[in-house]
Amino acid sequence: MNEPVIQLEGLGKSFGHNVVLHQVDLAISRGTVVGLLGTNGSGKSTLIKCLLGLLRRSAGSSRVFGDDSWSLSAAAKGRLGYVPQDVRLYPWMTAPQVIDYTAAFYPNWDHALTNDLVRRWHVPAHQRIGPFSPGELQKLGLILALGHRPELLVLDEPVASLDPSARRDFLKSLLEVTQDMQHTVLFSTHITSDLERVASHVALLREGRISLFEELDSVKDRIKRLRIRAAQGLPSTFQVPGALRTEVVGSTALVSTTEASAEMLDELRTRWQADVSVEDLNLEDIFLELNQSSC
Amino acid sequence: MLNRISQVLVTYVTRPAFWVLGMLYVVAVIVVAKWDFSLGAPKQSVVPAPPQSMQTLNLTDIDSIQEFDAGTFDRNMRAATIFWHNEIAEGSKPVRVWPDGRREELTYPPFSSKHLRQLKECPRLRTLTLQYRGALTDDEWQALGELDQLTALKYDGAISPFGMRQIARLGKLQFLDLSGCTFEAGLEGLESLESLQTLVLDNFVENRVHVLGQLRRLPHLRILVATHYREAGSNLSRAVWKSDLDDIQAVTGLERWFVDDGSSGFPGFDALARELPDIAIRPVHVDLARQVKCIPVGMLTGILIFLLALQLNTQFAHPAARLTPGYAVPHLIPATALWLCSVLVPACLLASATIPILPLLGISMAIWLAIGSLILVTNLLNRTQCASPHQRRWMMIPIQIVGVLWFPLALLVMLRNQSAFDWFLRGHQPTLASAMILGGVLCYALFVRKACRAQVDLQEAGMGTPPLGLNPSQGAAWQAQVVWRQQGGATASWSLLDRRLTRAIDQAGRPGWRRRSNLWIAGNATTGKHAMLIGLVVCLWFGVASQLPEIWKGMDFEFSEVFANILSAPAVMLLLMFPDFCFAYLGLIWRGRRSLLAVESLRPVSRRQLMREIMTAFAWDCAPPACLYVAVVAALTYLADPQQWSPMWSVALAAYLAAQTAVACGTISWLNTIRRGWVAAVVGIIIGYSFLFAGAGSSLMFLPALGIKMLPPDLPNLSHWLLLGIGVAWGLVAWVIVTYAFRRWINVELSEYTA
Repeated sequence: MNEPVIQLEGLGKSFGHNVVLHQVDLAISRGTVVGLLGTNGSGKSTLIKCLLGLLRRSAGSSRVFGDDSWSLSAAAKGRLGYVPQDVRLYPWMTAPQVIDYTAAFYPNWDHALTNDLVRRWHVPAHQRIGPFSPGELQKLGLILALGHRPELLVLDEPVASLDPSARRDFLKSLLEVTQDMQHTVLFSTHITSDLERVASHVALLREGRISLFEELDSVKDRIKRLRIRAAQGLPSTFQVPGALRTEVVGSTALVSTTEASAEMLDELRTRWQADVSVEDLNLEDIFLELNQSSC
Repeated sequence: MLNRISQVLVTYVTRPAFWVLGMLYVVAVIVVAKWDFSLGAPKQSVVPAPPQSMQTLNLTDIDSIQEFDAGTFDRNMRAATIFWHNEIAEGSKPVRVWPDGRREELTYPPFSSKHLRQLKECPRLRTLTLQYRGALTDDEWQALGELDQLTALKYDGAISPFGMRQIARLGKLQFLDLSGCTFEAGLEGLESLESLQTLVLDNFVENRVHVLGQLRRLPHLRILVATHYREAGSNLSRAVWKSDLDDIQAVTGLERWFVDDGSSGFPGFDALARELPDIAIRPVHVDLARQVKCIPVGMLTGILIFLLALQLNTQFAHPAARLTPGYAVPHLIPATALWLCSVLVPACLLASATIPILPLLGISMAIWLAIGSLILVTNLLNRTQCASPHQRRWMMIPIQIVGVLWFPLALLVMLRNQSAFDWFLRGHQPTLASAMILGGVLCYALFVRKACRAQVDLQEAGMGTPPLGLNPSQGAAWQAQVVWRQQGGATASWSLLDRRLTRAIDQAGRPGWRRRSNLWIAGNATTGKHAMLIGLVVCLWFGVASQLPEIWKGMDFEFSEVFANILSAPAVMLLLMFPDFCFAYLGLIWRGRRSLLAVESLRPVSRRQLMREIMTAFAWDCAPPACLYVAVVAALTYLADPQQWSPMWSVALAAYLAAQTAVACGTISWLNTIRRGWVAAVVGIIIGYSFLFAGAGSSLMFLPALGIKMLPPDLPNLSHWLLLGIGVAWGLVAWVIVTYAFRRWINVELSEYTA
C-alpha cells in the first residue's frame, strides 16, 4: 500500500551527446502534490515525458503504479492523466465531440465533472477547436485530463496560458479532485505562487538532477533569510553555516541559509555584535536562492 | 469497443479533408469505371522490335532523303530507317503544299546500292530498317551484305537465295525481322549467323521450301515470332499450329515463342506448354487497355492512402496515443477498413477487365505498396531522421532515392515489357502475384507500426506534437520552431554549407538585440539545400521518365551515348528549368514563415530595413539553386558548338538565368502578400505555369548555339545580341516585380505590425 506511485531510480536521458537527465532519483507517494521547479532547459518536460513513457529513457528505471513507464499497462494508463505543455487537439472537432471521444476510452468517465468544468471555465461548446485561443485549448486539455478522475495527474506547465481567474479556478478544481488524499499530482510550473497554493512537496531540478525534494512547509521552515547589521565592517569572506547565498555590503550582510537555528543566531549576535533579523521566504525567493546558490 | 470505434469514426466524419478526399475518390472511381482505356485499339502487338536509338537517321521525308543522297548526313548515327518513296504508283505522287497555297510536286532521287554503301561509312550504325522496298537488286543485296556492323535488320520484301546469302554475311546480326517477306529458298545460309538470337517471321510467304522446317538449323535462336504464313500456291494464311510444333521443338536453344492466341484452332497456352515444356509461349497480341487501366486505378488508390496516412498520422502523433488505455485497436479497425477499401475497390475495377483474382489482388496490393512505401520513406522516416541531429542522415539518401524512384522504374519496366505484364495479368504467375499480395500486407503492417510509433519518434526527435489539422501556416511555424531548437545539430551535420548559419547564431547569442533576422536564422537550416535536393529529385524523375525508355531500346547500350545525348533538347531544357521546382518549394516554405512576422516586427528597425533583411534572407535561400545556374552556364558554354558560340551567348544566358531567378523571387514575395491561401494557390498556379512556359520558350532560343538536333523546326536562330536583349527584358520584368513586391510588403503586409 505504501508503494510509491512514481519511482525513478538513476533515471538518465540523453539526446546524442547532450545529457538532459542524469541519475535522477525520485519517489512520490500517493496523495502528494509535487511541484516540479527548474529553470528553462533544466529537463522538466523531458523528465515528465520519460516518466510517462513518451520518451525512451537512456539509463536507470522509471515506474508508475509499479509498471515500467515504457510499457504501461492499460490499467495504469487508466489511472493517470496528462496535460502537455502544448495542447494539440483535433482542430475540426468541437469541445463536446472531443470530450465524448476521449470519454469512450475511460469506463469511469465523470460526465458531470467535465460538463461542470466546461461551463465554469467558459470553454466554447459549439465552436470548432481550430480557432481556440491557447488558453481555451489549455482549459480543454485540463478537462480531458481530469474527466476520468485520475489517481495520478501529470501536468506540464498547465497554467502557463491561463488568465489569473482561470488559474484560480483551475487550482480550486485541482484541490477538489485531490482533496481525498488518494490522488497524486505532479506538475511543473514557473508560477510558484500557484504551486505554493496547492503543492505539498516541491522538487527542484537543476542541471538534470533533482537537487531538492522535500515537503513545501519543511522547505519554507528550513530556508530563511538573515539580515545582519554588525557593529563593525564585515569581511568579504564572511560566512554562515548552511548559507545558500551571502551578500556583504560594509557592515550589513544578507544571507540565505538552510540552518537558521537559535544557537547559530545567538553566535552571530555575540561574535559580530550584530542585530540579526530572520525573514521568511516565499517559494519564488526560495527557488531563486536555490538556483543562485551554485553561481 | 463499439462505442470506441464509433467515436473514432467521428474523428473521420467530422474532418473536412475526409469529405473532400472521399468525394474526390468517389468521382475518380466513377470516371475510371466508365472510361474506355482501349483508345480504339483493343489489342496491341508485342512483337519484338529492332532496337532504336535517339540518334536515328530517318530517311522518310524528301528533305532528309535529299540530304542523304547528297552525302550530307550524320555519320555518328546508330540506327537508320529507310522508307524511300521513289516508286510510288502513278497519280499519287507526293506534293508539298506551301503556306501561300502553292503546290510543289516532289521528286525523290532514285534509291540505289550507292545509298546502302554510304551507310558503310557509319561505324556506329547498329540497326537498319528497310521498309516497303519491294525487291532489292543483286547489287543492292551485295551492298547490304557489306554492312557487317549491323546487329539488327528489319526488311520486308522478296528475298532471293542471293539476298539470303548476303544477309548471312552480317555476322554480328542479333535481331532479324523478316515479317511479310516472300522467301524463294527459305532460310538457306542463316545457320552461319551465330549471334542471331531473335527472329521475327510473321505473315511470311514461302515458295519452294518449308521455312519453319529450316529453323532447326538455327541452334542459337532464343526468341521466335511465328504466327501465320502462306504456303506456295495458296492464297490462304495458316496459323503455326499442331503440324508445325515438331519444327519449333527442333530449335534446341529456343526459349520463347510468340503465338497468336486469337487465331482459330489455338489449342491454349496450357496445351502448348505441355507439348513444348522447355519453351515459354507468349501471346503476340496483348490487351493494352487493362494494362493502361492499372495506372489510373493506382492514382485513385493514392487518394485513399493519402487520407489514411493523414488520419493515422494525426491520431498517433498525439501523446494520447501512448497514454490512453486501449487506444490502438479502435483506431486501427477503421484504418484497416479503409485499407481494405483501397485494395478491394481497385480490384473490383480491374475485375471488369477479366483479370483473375490473384493478379487482381496482386496489382491492387502493389499499387498500395508503392505509394505506401513512398509515404513511409518521405514522411515519417525522413521527418524524424532529418529533425534529429544525432541520426545518420546520410543513410536516408539512398533510401529516399530508392523510395522515390522505384515506383516510376517499376512502371517503366511494366510498360516496357507489355508481354510479360500481360502474361502476369492472365494469371500465369501465381507465385509473383502471391508475393505481391504478401508484400502489400506487410507494407501496410509496417505502415501501421510506423504510424503507431509516430509520437515516440517525434518526441525523440525533439519535435513535440505537430499541428493536427492541415493548416499550412501552423505547420510551417511548427517546423520553424523545430529548426530553431535543432539548429545546433544542423550546423554539426552540414558544417560546410552552414557557415552562414553558424555566424548568424553566433551573432544572435551576443548581448543586445539580434543583428540578424530571426527568419534568416530559422530559415537557413532547411530551405536552400533541401530545395536543391527536391529540385534534383524532381528533375531526376523527369529525366528517368523521359530518357530511360530511349536508352532502354538500345540493344548494345553504351555510356558514351548517354553523354552524347546530354545535348538533346529535353535534357538541356531540364537543366535550364530545374531550379523552378526549388523556387516553388521555397515559396511554400516562406509563405509559412509569415507567422513569424509579428515577432520580427518587434525588432527596432525601420520597415524598410526589416523588409530588406527579409528579402535578403529569402534571396540567400534562393542562392543555392541560383548557383547551380552558374554551373549550367559553364557546362553549356563548354558543350556549345564552337562555330555557333560567342562570349556574348554565355553572357546573355547568364543574364537571362539571373533575371529568371529574380523574377521567381519577386513573384513568390508578391504571392506571399496575398492573405487567403486558396487565392494565393490559384494565382500561384496560373503565374507558375505562365512562368514555366515563358521560361521554356525563352530558354529554347539559346539552344541552337548548342548544336542540338531535336529542336522545333520553326525555331529562329537569333543573334547573340538579341539573346542578351531577352535576358535584359527578363531583368526589367524582375526589377518591376521585385520593386512592386517590396513596396507591397512595406505598405500592406508590415503596416499591421510596425509604425
